Amino acid sequence: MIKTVYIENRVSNHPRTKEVLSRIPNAQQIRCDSYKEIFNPKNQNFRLQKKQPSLIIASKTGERVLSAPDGYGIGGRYNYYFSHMLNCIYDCRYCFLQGMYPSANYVLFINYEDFFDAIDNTTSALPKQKVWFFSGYDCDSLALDPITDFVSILLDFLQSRPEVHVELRTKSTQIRALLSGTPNPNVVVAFSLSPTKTADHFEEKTPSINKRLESMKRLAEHGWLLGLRFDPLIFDDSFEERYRDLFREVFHILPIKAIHSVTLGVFRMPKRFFQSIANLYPEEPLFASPLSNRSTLITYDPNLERQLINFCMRELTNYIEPERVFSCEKKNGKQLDKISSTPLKKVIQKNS
Amino acid sequence: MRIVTALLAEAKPIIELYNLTPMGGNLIFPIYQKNNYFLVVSGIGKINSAIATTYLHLKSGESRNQPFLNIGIAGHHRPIKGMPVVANKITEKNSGDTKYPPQIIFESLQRSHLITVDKRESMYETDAAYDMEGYAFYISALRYTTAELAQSLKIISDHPTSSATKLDATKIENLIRNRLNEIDRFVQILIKLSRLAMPQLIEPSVLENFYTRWHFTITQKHQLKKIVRRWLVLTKEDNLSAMIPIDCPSAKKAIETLENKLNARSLFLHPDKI
Repeated sequence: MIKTVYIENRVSNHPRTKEVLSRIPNAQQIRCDSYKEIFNPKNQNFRLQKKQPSLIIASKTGERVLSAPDGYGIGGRYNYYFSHMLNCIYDCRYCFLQGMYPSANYVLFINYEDFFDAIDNTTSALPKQKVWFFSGYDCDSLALDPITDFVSILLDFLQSRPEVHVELRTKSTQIRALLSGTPNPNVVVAFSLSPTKTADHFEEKTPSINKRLESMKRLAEHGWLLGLRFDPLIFDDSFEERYRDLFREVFHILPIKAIHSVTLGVFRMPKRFFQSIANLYPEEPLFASPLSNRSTLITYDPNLERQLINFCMRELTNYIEPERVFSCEKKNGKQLDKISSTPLKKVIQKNS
Repeated sequence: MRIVTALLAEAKPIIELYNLTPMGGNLIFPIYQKNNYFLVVSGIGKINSAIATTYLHLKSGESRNQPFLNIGIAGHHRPIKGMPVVANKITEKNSGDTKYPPQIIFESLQRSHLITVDKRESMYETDAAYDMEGYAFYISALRYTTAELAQSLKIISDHPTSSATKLDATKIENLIRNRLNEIDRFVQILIKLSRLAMPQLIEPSVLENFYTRWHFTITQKHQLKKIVRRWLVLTKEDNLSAMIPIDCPSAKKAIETLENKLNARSLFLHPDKI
């Protein structure tokens, strides 16, 4: 439960600010000039703040839509991302946000229309092209939706823009806005999934895998396209058993025709973020597992990475055709943190 | 725990609460201590508070990420005399600079904007608490601890219709004494949180067992610490030096041996699998 809300002075009279505040009436309200006064100071402890994160209501200035890294995508050529929020209500131990941001507080940028204008500007520069926009890179796209109401407003915006494709990335079961809206074939609701035991250990405060699958099934029945994001793959000696069981469960419950895409990626993190997080949680076994320093990333060594990806690829082909599967792929020791658009079939051929 | 008060009258009930005794030696500011509880009496004003906070840090062992708490009386715009409030926003009136102590502790205590002034006020125009130290304390404490662990807890002593001039040492003592339960609860939560901010994983003796057997360069000490940490986290075993053969010739070999032995073990990150 949010107990403190910081409000930038410039948005204090914004109707959306008032709506958000009306949904958390018991929180103390503190005015500030800029969200950066609360979010950016260096001497903050992410782990302590995760005990009781506050919400900061702000207005996003500057660039609102950014190019996705090269190769980041699910089959599209033009890929961008935007973040109407910073940080996430969940507490996943492997999450890079813990190392990227100095604060665990949630920042909500309530000037949604400015994000939409930025999306329009981006697509108008690429006429007749299919352009993908990824939401959920710096936050969970749905988790705070009962407070932010972002999804329904986004869906209204997308109705008249067939050239815009959007991925909503989530672990949340907050799907009310999607169920009450008309399914949009250009929107993929992508769920991050881990084996149940892995989720239980490393994904604190998240809905269980069963609950996520229930929500996905409901969305599929309603006509929404789904994304499966098996990322990060976390290795230990039970890896094969855990992921085999997960894939069996997922494809037993979900209709294949509703699945737009599947992505795979091993645990990986920029070195600088990893060091911060390992200092915050020195007792965490995940950070003591066999990891390699590969260029700017901490991840598994190349052989282990290949084994994990290959195993998952083999298992997945029991259920779904390779054209819908994309992998995070190491390219000559570089671009380890980017999702390649290489379909599984090509990767398998290359590896065989 | 590091406590900073401006006045001895504010400190007395806390000294009694924690059975603190005066620290010996020729001190610049009076410091009272028992175990890991330290309290300094800074005197009134920003400069005194900033210097005393730093002095307390130095005299208490310079450990990082200790909880720092400023306790004292403050005036308030509203007539809430006797009420304890935690500062959620601290403004230095002169410069207008404002800081926002993170709000992660939620007891029943009220929150308030705290304005730090240079000269005693009586009008209290803004809906806020007013003191003469809070901002300086906070800025100073931030150099030694993480923002979540630097907090100001004020007991409201006066407001525009109840002047501070009527306060004497006994009244101030009583204001604090009447709120010792709330103060202690807040202190205990801060102490608990501080343990999360400075997780201590490796007992120094574990490493000492290696240092006495081989010579380690600085780099090798880092490598050793890293592999020992992995061992402790993954296996909970701490008698690691005993795993190295007696005839192991060097620190380098000792580190390699530890790495190889750990990597040869099964890895289960999901406890019920162990």
